[in-house]
Amino acid sequence: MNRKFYDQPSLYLSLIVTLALAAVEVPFWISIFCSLLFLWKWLVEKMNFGGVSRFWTSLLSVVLFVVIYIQRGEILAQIPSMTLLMGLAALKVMDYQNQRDHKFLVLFGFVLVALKSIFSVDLYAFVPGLLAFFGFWISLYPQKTKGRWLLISRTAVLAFPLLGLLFFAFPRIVVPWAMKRGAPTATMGFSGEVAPGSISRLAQNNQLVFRAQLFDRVETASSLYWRGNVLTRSYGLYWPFSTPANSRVTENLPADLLNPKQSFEYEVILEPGSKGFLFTLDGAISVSSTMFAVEKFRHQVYRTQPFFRKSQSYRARSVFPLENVRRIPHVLPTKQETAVGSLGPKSDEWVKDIRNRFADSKDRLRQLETFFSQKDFVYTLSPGVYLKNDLDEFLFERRKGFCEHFAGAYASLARALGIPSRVVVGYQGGRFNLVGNFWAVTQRDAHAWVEVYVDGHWQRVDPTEWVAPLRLSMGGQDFFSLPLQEQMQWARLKSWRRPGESDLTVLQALDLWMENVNYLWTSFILDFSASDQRELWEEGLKTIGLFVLIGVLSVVFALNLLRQISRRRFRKSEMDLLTQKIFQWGANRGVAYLPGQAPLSYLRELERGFSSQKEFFQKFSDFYERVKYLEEECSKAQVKGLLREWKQVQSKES
Amino acid sequence: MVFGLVVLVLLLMAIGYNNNLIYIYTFSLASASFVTMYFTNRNVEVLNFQSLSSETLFAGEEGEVKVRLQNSSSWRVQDAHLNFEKSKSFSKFEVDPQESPFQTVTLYWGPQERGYVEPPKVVLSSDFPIQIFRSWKVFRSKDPLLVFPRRVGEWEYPMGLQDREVMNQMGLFRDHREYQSTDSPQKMDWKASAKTQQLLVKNFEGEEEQSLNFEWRHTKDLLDFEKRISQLSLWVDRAEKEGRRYSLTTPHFKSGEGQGAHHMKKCLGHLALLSLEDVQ
Repeated sequence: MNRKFYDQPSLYLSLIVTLALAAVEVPFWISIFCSLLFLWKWLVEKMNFGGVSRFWTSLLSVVLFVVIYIQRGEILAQIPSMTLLMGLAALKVMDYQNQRDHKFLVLFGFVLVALKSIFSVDLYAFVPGLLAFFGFWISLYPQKTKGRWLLISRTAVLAFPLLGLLFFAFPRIVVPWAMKRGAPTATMGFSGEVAPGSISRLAQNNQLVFRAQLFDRVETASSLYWRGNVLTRSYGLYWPFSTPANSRVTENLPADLLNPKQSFEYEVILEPGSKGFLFTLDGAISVSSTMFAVEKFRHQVYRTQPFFRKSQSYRARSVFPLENVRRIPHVLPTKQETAVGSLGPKSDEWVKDIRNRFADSKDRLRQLETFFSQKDFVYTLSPGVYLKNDLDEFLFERRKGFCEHFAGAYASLARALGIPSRVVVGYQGGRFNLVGNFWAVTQRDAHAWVEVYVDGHWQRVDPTEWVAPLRLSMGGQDFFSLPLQEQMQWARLKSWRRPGESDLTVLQALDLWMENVNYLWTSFILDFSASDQRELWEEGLKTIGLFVLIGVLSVVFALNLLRQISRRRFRKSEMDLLTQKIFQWGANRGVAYLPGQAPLSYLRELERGFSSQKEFFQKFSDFYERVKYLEEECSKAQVKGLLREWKQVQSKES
Repeated sequence: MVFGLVVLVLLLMAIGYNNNLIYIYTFSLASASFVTMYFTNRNVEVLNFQSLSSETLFAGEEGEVKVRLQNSSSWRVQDAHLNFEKSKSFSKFEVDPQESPFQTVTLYWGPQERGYVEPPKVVLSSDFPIQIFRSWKVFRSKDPLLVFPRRVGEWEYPMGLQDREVMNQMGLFRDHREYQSTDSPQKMDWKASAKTQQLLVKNFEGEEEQSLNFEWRHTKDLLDFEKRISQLSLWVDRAEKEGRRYSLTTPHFKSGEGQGAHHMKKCLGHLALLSLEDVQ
């Protein structure tokens, strides 16, 4: 039977959504190609335009294959295979004529939706993908099917518990040849060094880096400094990746710091693409994860092997307050950590002047603070291009920079003044989600600050605080959302809000809510791993009673629901109920109704077997024959009359 | 098959990429398929075979066979198919117990031999609701069906009877009636047909009253036993269609004069079961 593609709304809408989702991952031309074919098919079906034969679509499929192969050099990788599948699906649309083509397209759709998940596990992509997936499934039910939506609902009600069971119980097999998602290199996060422009480039996108939930601890954005890496080699503005920071250390913590009351715990869920830096707050004493091994380095730096495939979570614990943080054992600054990098002549001159005038470290640090606070430095994401050792240019000429310029320059000058110092890179602040009670940290929160060694402790100094305190109090995400003019105008204020801005707009509230859903999605679905599965079942076995109870209740619920739905639609007629009663009566007296037996022959058996009820059975047989076989109308009153007679017959028997 | 392959590919993708979303898609597909398979199976399972019968079934021709089914549940059977085993033609039907739990489905069968012949197995199948999974069950009727002999041979009635027919035509003309495929071309009134642009045959007074008596000896020119039976079968069938009264006589059987479905079944039934011993 001939079918038209545009007469199948579930199919074409699902396919369009799927192709639109896939389009962002593949070369642009394939989307154009698909759109043109969709348009052409529409013209063929609605405007009687000429179509193309299967020969030409087959030929085009081959051409498509060759083009993609030439362009990409391979066909089995994710992007080329997705490109090819999209093209083939669109060509199949051109061929669409019958049920077979329909099924073929649906299968294409299933694979395309699943393939999209390799590129993006984001909830925003998953929800339309899932809808399209169900749309494909629904399109398999012919439109003329009676009770179509009821049947679809019943399928969903029954399939859902099974889906849950399979998802949580199917063993997560980790195969050694497991493929990586996306590009084989990390695409997100800092590279572990501070070079002019490296962090400002990061801060220009709003990609989520991690979410963190602090347990039993309230913090403000300005107090959250998420340490990533510590850099110790200075080349003026440039601080390269420091090898010494990677040497492994063991620490003997004072016993009282191990008391949970002296510390607080937080969970961090890293987005895929991270480069293996595990971000911790000041005073971190432990970091652990059930998903990966954690390595601890000097300067409270924690890392793991770089991973790219999916979100990963870990838990960390940091001590508080500041006095306790300072009690964490540390290694004294090494020569490398005090080595002065190359400064420019002007910087040299300034350093000599300060050294001559001030002997005390604290005085020298105060001079540094004064220098950065009073010299009209401008905090901006686009300060222009600096070379790696353009310290003079930055400090005395242009005076425009981002956090990495201020941190790098401050630490270099501090070292030149004889104060051991290092640069810390990581993230500062984040946006607190009131709904989900967690912090969402994005690339816009990327930050660099300084630690100086004074009074036998490493102490945090953030030069950005003097130049753009608003960036720290407001958080990178909100600050960089402001127009450039407002950023520059209000940066030196400690707090500022655009006049007339209410506390929380509906859109912002919606955004927080969606972000929370995304967080739960990531925590419970995307991060569900083999170890989580093991944990779940181990815990489940411990509380087996609960599991059994839940299982039994689910089954009873599903069956009951199904029965209710069935009853609503297929309620038995009164005639059938009376027949059922009579047959049950017979069965109770040893005359069983055999499957497949003609009801009239069974009624005759009853007539023969029970002489005192013979008259009733004859009457009922006659009535049954007229209603069921001769298709005569029967009124409710007639059935009720028979029911009354049946009751009388039964009462006589008793 | 292809569907199963797709589920497998998705599962391998999920394992290969260790991707929970693909697991969700795969398991959604698997569980929905499982439930749908159950529905497909139920669509067939609830139907019980009641009987298989046929009014007239001639050897060498395809004839109607009625299959009566009963839906023993409250499940509405849709898109069910019924066919004889190895036959490509099928009948599509539905049984809504709200309307009636019974359904009679017509199938077509071409038996090659006369007599009581066991019909082929009846296959009840369904791919409801998504036309991807198929469930089926096979019935075999315990009771054979009576197949009448082939109706082949000389179209014209035996010579003696033919003469009488010609004589009839020489009687008084009564009226015209429309030509039927079973009418002899000799009865055609060509002139009247040309005038009215309708094919007409002549009716004569007293024609209906004349009966045809088909006797075994009328086929003595045919040497083959089966051909003789087939010849008689053809005449009986023709006479019945023409609305004539007729009788059948074989060495040990006399049907008596009659007309109508019952009489025809009596005559053809006798021929269907006739053996060589019966005519010797």
